[in-house]
Amino acid sequence: MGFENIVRPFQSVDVSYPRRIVKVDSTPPENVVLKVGDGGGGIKTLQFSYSYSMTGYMNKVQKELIQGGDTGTYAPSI
Amino acid sequence: MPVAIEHAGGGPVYFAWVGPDETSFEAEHVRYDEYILKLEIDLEEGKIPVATLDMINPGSDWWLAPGRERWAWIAFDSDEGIVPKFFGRVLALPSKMFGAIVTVKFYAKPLDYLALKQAAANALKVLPYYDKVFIDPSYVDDPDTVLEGYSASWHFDPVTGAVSISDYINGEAGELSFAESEIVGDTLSFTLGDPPPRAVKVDATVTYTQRAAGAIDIGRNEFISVTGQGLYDGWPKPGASLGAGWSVKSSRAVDRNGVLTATVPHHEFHFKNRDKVHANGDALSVDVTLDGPAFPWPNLISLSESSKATFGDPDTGQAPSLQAQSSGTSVLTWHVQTELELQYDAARERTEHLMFTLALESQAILSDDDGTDDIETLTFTGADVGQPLPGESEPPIGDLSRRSYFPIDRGLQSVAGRICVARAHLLSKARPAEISFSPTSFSRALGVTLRHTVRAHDARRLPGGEAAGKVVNVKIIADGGKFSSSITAKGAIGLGGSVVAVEGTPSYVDADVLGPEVQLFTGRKLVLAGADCVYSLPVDGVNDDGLSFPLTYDQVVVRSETLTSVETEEEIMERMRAAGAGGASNADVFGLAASKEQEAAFAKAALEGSRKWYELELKPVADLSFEYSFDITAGPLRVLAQNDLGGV
Repeated sequence: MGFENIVRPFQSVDVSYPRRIVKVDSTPPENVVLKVGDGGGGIKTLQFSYSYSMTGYMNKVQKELIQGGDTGTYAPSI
Repeated sequence: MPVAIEHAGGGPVYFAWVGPDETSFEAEHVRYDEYILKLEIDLEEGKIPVATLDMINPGSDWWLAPGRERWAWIAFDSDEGIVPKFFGRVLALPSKMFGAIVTVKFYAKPLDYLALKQAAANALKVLPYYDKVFIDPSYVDDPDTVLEGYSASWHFDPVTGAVSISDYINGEAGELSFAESEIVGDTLSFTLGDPPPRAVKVDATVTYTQRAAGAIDIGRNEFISVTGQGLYDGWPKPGASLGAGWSVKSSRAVDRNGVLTATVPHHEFHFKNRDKVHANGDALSVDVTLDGPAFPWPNLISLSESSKATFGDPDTGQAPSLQAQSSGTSVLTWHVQTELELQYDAARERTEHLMFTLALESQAILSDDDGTDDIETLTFTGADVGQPLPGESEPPIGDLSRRSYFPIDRGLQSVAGRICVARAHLLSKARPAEISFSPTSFSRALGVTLRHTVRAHDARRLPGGEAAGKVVNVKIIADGGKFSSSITAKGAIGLGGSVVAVEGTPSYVDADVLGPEVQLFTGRKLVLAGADCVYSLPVDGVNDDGLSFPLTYDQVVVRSETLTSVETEEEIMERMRAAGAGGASNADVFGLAASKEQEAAFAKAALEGSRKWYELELKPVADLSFEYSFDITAGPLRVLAQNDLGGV
């Protein structure tokens, strides 16, 4: 077969090559087609969540008049 | 009047009853056992020699007597002494066994006639003449079948009982020439029968199923897709049939991204301040819960966030607090890594013709047809050369993956064999000249056999003054005291000449580097055994869909590609990102969503509408049939010019 492949390109027409006989009503063979995943779908989802909660301390401050004629202000402290 | 004047055995005819084992003519057989009135020995081409004797009835009881001799020797006096001419046996009772004169037939048929004929046939069962490819298996043991490829007929020796064949045209025992003076004048006849066919057209067919098996590695692929589950689940499994000769030899699909087993990780963090004294602003408690990976969450198709902060107020004692929630829907991306190796089991029905027209070179004979009926057609339906022939272990084609039969060594034998058959067919009809005469010399007639060619000379009545042919009938007759003989021969009217092989021109390298068994020699022609015909050789070439076994990837894979829908999932995801996945505008992207859940559903539906899939297109290797013909040239067939019809 190896030699045949080497020699074939050099062959000329002055020899008895095979002549294909094709019937008129014959249909050419169809190729094989493999399809994978063409149905699509299959989406997979995940639900994520996050929650944060914080509470702080706060003491009620009694208002005191600051002596010295100042108008009433208070200094909040947190 | 008896055929022998001297009834006591003084000649010129001798007849002796003998046993079957007395197969050699000895002096003791020179006798005259019966009173014979008439004797005729008939030698006919292809038939058992027969001697018919009219004799005085030895008595009806005699024929039935147990142990009586049924074999006989018949001999004649000739110029060369006593010549045995016939050794045969009675095969049937005389038809009128009660008459005064009975007619008895003797046949030169040895007891082991069938074995002899079979042995002769077996010796002739050699390629290319005898080709079992074209022999009906039910006739393989039929000795007559062997003659198909030989231009010859059976020959049964009337004396030795030997079985052999004898050529239609050339007498193996040589040519005997009879001068005009050696022929009884009014017995000479020369006639021309039907003209030989101008040619014979041959269509010989063999069939087989071309078979080959092997594997093609389609390779490794990686598909990245949110719809990858279809690819993962649908990837063909080992052993699965794809049709048309293809199946899966090995395959693998790996979920490299772990989508199948993906879960949502859960994390919690809780803090409670257990100090006894607090200052304003101290965190008293912190609770964090995370269901999902660390931020940022990938491939979000929906995101919902909310938060609430309360500032501490010492005036009212309002404690500070902060609540924040996020939830989102994320779509997972598949990374499907695949491997695929396919198995092919090719099965391709093939019908292969060998066609040629073999012409006969012949002198013209006037005939009243228009020349259209003198080309005969021979059609041969051969065996399945992909199956061993009877008595053989290997199929004629050898390697079943071959795309043609006739060009291989064994096939070339079949080619030569069909030409032999066509040649034999033509030569059997190439003897239209029939010459018949009686020699003046009875002794000479005794020396003529069916293995001779005879040439008769007559300047006045024969074309060119002579006519020749192969002997097809000899009659030796003794009737009373008269002795006569007749010889009939059939002669060819060819043009003579010989043929020589044509070496051809090497098409690749010099002939001394690679011979014709390796490289093609353009115009090469071989001489058929018999040296009267040349023919060209069929040469292998593409006669089908071009596939050459063993198959390679490039031969059979038409395409291997990943296809997507019109809007790809990447484009959809990009559209989402541009709109801000999880943001308020998501609803504008995927439709009017009434809620975040609906928004996610819209996005999911859009992605599911996108598709990414794989297609592999292969050439079929099974359920195919091919029909083709090798149209070779053969001939013309050169035939002896035994008779010159134009001679003067």
